[in-house]
Amino acid sequence: MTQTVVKFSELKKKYHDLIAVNDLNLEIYQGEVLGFVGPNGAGKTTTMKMLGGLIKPTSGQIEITNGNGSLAKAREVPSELYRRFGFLIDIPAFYGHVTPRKILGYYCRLLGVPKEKIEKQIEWALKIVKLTRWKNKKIKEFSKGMKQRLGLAQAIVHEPDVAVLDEPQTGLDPAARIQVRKIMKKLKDLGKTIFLSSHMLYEISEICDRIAIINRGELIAVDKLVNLEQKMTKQEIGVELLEPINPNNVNKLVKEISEKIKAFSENDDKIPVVYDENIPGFHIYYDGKPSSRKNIHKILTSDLKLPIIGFSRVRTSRLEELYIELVENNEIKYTQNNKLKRR
Amino acid sequence: MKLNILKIINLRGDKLMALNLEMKRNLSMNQIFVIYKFELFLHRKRYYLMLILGLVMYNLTAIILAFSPPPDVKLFMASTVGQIGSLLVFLTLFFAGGVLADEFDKGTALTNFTKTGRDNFFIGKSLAVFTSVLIWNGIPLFENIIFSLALYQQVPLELFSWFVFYCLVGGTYVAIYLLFSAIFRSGTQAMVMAFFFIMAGATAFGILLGAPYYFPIYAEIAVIQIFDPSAVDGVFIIDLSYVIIMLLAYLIPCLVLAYLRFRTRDV
Ligand SMILES: Nc1ncnc2c1ncn2[C@@H]1O[C@H](COP(=O)(O)OP(=O)(O)OP(=O)(O)O)[C@@H](O)[C@H]1O
Ligand SMILES: [Mg+2]
Repeated sequence: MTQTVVKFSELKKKYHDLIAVNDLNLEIYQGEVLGFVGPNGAGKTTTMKMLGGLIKPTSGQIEITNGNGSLAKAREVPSELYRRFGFLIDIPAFYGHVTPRKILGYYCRLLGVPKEKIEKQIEWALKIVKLTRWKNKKIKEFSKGMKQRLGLAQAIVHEPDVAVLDEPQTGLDPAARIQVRKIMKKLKDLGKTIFLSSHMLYEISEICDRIAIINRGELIAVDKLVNLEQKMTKQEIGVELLEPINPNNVNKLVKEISEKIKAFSENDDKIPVVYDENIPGFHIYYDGKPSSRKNIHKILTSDLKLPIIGFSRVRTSRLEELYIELVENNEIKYTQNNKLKRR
Repeated sequence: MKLNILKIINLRGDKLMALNLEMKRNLSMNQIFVIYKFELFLHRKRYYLMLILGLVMYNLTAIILAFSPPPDVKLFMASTVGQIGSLLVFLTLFFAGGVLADEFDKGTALTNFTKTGRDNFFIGKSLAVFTSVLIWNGIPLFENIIFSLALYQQVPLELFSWFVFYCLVGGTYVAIYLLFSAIFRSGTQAMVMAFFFIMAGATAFGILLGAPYYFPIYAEIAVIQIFDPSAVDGVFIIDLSYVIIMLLAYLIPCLVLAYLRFRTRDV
């Protein structure tokens, strides 16, 4: 039985007439990594700020775990919130005149870490984010990426049960990004829960158990990646041919293939086949069913006798495609609704 | 320890009902102390500067006077501690002007306020700023004890009245600065507006109301009454108790409003 550690119910935040977060219902389960994605201005940071008590929801409710498996309203148990949660929100800033050691020590004391453990926790956090070398340097002399690392360190220095990380990878170099991914995997292995917002979809798909997509303040999907994929209306096959097709015949051939595989593509208004001379070969969009894939393969090899040397589902950008499709659909719905309203 | 401020200041019903919806108060002496210590540490340089400035300022007048000491110890004090007071309004601005606003403006609120309740921050930071007033007034207090013992072999009680009164004056400035600091977005803006308010706004308002004057910096004129009870300001006899009530009438509401604004402000 999975326990819920955070529960948002009908959560709403208005800034004047802009609804930044609209009736958000979302649960975060114990021990999972929940990816939180959405376009700029979708409301990710706003949601996390509300969880952290930095801003007040216009309406709705936030409940958090009290450690005994039951939930309590976050605002009623602030000490639980501070102790069990670690936050890295937006682009954090630090007092410039102090050193990472000093500021982390300060945070540890504020968070009630026992005195004798403070030094150990600081060393641990600094080592994890690879800042040990700079621990006695003043923060005002830090680069952006170093500050971002410190931001991550301060979020986990007290080993919280739940880490709320808002784009922890912004401004980090590739090695540090990989390092952050490793950190999150490690935290997950330790049984920690992570609520992670990011624009790096590849990283998200690598580490997240579930993904929540938000657009214009509204949650448009939340599920495991494999389940979300099944909701996609199109999937892609890359077909590689032994040699390029004579340019004069391309159009004819594309048309012919399109006709024959029409039954396996759900999208009627879009041509399901695109020739790409760089492969050389085709991109074929179909409905994603394994049987369809088999049939398409048969049509290409037996019926058309094409010299195929590669036939594979394109996997690399799954989440990206999914994201684009869901967000775009939501945008279309949104504009249509607005038009209706205006009439 | 929980403090139910709603019960203490049951002023405006519905607004306070709304406040009730927010984060429960989460006061802890331990955390307040940690914040207090850290704030003092953070402004270490300012304290050094203040100490040096205080010693130089005070010693200059005191040493000059020591060559030809006035006949009465009270006269001596009126011309030494009375001098140092006029810096109080700048000094408190230096310490309290941006202390709350900068957290929001510079983005440190994003990390700090997820560590412990804002109540603790408010109290810890305020105490740290009040400490600067204590230290600043403590320098002349300490030196005056030494000088008056050396020159007159006595320490009049008025010196301690002066100290308490001047801490109240400094506290009032601090409260006003804290309120502006809790309202305005940027620290600099808060400092400019608050300073303008104290020097011009409140002063104009106080003069309009007439004597006895109701504006904080009037206290710096009224202070001579401590050493000379018959002191006259122009044509009016100064009544120190009026001044004290006036200061409290600024200090308490400003502090309460600053607190309420600070804890409900969006980061
Ligand atoms: N203080 C504020 N006042 C007014 N509007 C705000 C404020 N903060 C955020 N918003 C608005 O709320 C919406 C959501 O912003 P939010 O910062 O949550 O987006 P986000 O999903 O984190 O975006 P990004 O990916 O760019 O970080 C945006 O339209 C933004 O303009
Ligand atoms: Mg954001």
